[in-house]
Amino acid sequence: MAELTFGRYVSHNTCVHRLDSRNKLLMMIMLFVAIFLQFNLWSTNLIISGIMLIFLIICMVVAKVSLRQLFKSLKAMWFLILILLVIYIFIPNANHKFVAFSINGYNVYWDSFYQCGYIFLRIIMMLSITMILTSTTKPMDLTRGLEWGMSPLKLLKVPVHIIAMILTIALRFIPTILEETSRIMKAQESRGIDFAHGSLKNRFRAIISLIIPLFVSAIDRSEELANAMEARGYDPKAKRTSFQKLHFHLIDLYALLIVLVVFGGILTLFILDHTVTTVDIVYVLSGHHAIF
Amino acid sequence: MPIKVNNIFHTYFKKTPNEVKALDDVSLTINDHDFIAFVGETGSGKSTLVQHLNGLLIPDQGTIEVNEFVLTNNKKKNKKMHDLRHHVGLIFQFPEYQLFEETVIKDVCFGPRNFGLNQEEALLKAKEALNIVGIDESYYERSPFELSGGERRKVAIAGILAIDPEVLVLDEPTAGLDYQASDEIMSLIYDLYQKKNKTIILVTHDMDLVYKYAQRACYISNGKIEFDGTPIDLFNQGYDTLELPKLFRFIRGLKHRGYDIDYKDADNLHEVFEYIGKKKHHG
Repeated sequence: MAELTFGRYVSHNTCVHRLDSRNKLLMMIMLFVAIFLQFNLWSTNLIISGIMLIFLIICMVVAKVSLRQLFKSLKAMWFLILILLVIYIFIPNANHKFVAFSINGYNVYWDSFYQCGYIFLRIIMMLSITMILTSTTKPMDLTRGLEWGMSPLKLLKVPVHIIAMILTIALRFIPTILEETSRIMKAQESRGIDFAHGSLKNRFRAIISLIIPLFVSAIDRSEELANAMEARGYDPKAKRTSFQKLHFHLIDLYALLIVLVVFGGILTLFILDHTVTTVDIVYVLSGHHAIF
Repeated sequence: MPIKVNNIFHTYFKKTPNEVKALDDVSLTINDHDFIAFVGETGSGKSTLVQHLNGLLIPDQGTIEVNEFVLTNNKKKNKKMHDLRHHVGLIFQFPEYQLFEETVIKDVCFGPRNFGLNQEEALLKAKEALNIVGIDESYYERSPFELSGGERRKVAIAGILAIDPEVLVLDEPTAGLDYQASDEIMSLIYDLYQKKNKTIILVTHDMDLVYKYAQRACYISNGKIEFDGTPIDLFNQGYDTLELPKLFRFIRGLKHRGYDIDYKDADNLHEVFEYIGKKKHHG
């Protein structure tokens, strides 16, 4: 049995779990757009992000998504943040104005830290949205939602059903392959491999001893699956109906309304922010000077 | 040195709705030169238990003592895991899926090399191990992926034998093999037990194997050891979830027909047959 991994479906029975997957996908897209809206003032950016983050944390608590898991995955990202920081510090940017300190005449700007932190914040938000989606929606429902969302593309002769089937199979096999991974890791650990410690060369060897068996079994399995599907007369072009139908309930409407308020609010602010006259108003009201 | 398992607990998926208590206060001692079989339903916790024996899993509570090594929940104290794995070798179910090198001989050398032997020593150990499982020299330079299922399994088992552990744990070593291949594998395991004085721990669903080879049987159910004793005593307990070995089913059939025999007589079949013959004659 594999340990619980990031974003794996957890079968609680909360109101978020009961939402229609199509609705959840729609809400996810809206929230993602909201995250990517950038405002003129750094303070507005941070305040809006803070509000979004609080909203998302509330969603996570309601959906019983483990916050601990999110923090765990953040711990693995410190390297990414470090690289970002280095890039922001060493790539000169004429817009940077606030000097934090200078080393041998090279100025390091506060702005780099801010940019980096802002990106980090947005990554956290994206991660939490994805986590809420995947840990409250069964993979099968998710692909059905996607299939529904892509159905207009059928007019353009896009093989929507085949894409959905590929996604279904891929999602279905993620836990299986994770289990397989942990099994092979254990088997190689029994043969004296240490996946957690050791020199770069040893670690490379360890990874090879994991990846090759994993590929071999995945290829075997895919062939078996293809044969089994063909043996049962699977025809990708056949017209089919769904065993379980997706339903849009009243609770979906409420959830959609809440997300629409958040999304609409941020979008309105964004439009106002980018209209010259309102920028002036913000100037006067806040007494701030625009940085960017 | 015996392996002492003291009151261990293990829970999967902690603090989620899928929480499973895989091991619930398990204690046992495995002596040197034991041939012990763990039996029980799928999901009863037997695989979880054996994975604790070489530190692949760490108990939530309780300790496991192997030599001077003590495995506990405290991660900092669990050094020398390498030594533990050298002492207790674990062969997983379908071990052929752990092969990865280009040639058979390289793959078997992989284990001993990881435990610090140099190339020549490892090669010697590998050849010895391949010899035990009956893979001859013509196979050494072939790719493990082009062998048959039974041959691949033998190579994978040799991969562990080459490490030369004192205790050998086998999780369903005969699963998915035909009768002849599984018989070959079991008799080579029995040889290791008899001639090389290894301690053997066998996890299996096949009661015929338990009856034929094991000296001691543990029945595990819902993460607890329900029974620990000789195989014959185990079959006498009559657990619903355990299917009896073929021979025992035969004896049970005879009993139902009014013959005066018992499971204990399974060991001296000659007398049983003589008895049946006499009864037929006179009856």
